[in-house]
Amino acid sequence: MSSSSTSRRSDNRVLVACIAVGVATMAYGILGFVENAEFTTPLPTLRRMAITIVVNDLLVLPAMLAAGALTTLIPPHLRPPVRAALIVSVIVIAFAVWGSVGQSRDVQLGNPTALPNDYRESILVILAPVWLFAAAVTLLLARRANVRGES
Amino acid sequence: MSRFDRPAEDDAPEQPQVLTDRRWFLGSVFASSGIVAASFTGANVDALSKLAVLPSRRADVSSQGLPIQTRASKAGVEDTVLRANYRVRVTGSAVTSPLELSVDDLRAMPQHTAELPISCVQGWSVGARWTGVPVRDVLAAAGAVDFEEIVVTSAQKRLKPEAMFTSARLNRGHALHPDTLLALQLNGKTLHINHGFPTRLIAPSNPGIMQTKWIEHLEVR
Repeated sequence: MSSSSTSRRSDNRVLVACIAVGVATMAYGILGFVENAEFTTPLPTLRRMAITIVVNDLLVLPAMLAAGALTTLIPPHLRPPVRAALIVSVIVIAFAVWGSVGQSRDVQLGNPTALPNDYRESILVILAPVWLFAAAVTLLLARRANVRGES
Repeated sequence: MSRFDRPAEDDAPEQPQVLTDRRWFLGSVFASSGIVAASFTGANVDALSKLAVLPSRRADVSSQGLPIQTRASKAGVEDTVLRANYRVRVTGSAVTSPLELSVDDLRAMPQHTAELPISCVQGWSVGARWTGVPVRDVLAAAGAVDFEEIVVTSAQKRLKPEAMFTSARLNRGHALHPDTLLALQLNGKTLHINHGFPTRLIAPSNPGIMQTKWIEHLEVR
């Protein structure tokens, strides 16, 4: 018996064990969700989950795919830093928007302790170095490719 | 071959471009996680508050030393809790002597002080000094000895999801903990209405959303 087939069998056991633990954990969560209906409010919660899934599948996912497809316009050897900077940007903007938009509407208007930051400035302060770094690496890669192409 | 076995092609060496893409992807995930973690750590540690550029609250921007999650006017409680006949009711199947406690009644009971944080599920956590009546003393006054849990209900009727904001459940051990209080003071001063005046629940190891403000009812069952 080869060592690679033994290793695969071991991988399979780990995978099956992980699936079993995952399913058991979800079952425990669902049981608690149903048994504590007085506090978990199943219908509004399920409605929120359904809205989240629809927004993710019909809006967020296509937007991500479109952004990924757009990056194929960049030569393959220059894509990684641009894609990495895009990923960091999306995550940082998502957190900033979650804090500012989600909290400022209606509920928090006039709350002196809510939204203590200038979130546009926060995004700029965080993402400027990220994009400067990505631009520097992209230029470096482009230069190396040119040198290789010339030699 | 098991369904989880990888095809033989997987044994082939990976292309350098694939490896480079993967490294950059992992790097971007680590960088994003680090930025977000640093920012939210700043919302929880006073000395790092300048890093808290993303969260919706910061420890250093507060009222009575604590950020406000929901204002009284938005929760629609002002008319109820500022009335002269405001009472905290203690009832339920495990209560032998139902109570209706005014603010003065609560102030006249033995007070206890505890240092506990409000730890909000939105990512900020700020510690404070709370003074109030231990819930176990209220239970003793109501003759509640044999009970399983307490449902603490707020006067808050507005804002959704109501069930999450307007009530909390304490199991027996949690309710009898000496630091589980009907708090009347925050950091040495009377609780501001935005922090739950006349009284709010403060209990160890409770998420902020379950530290119910503007309490009007304890159901002991």
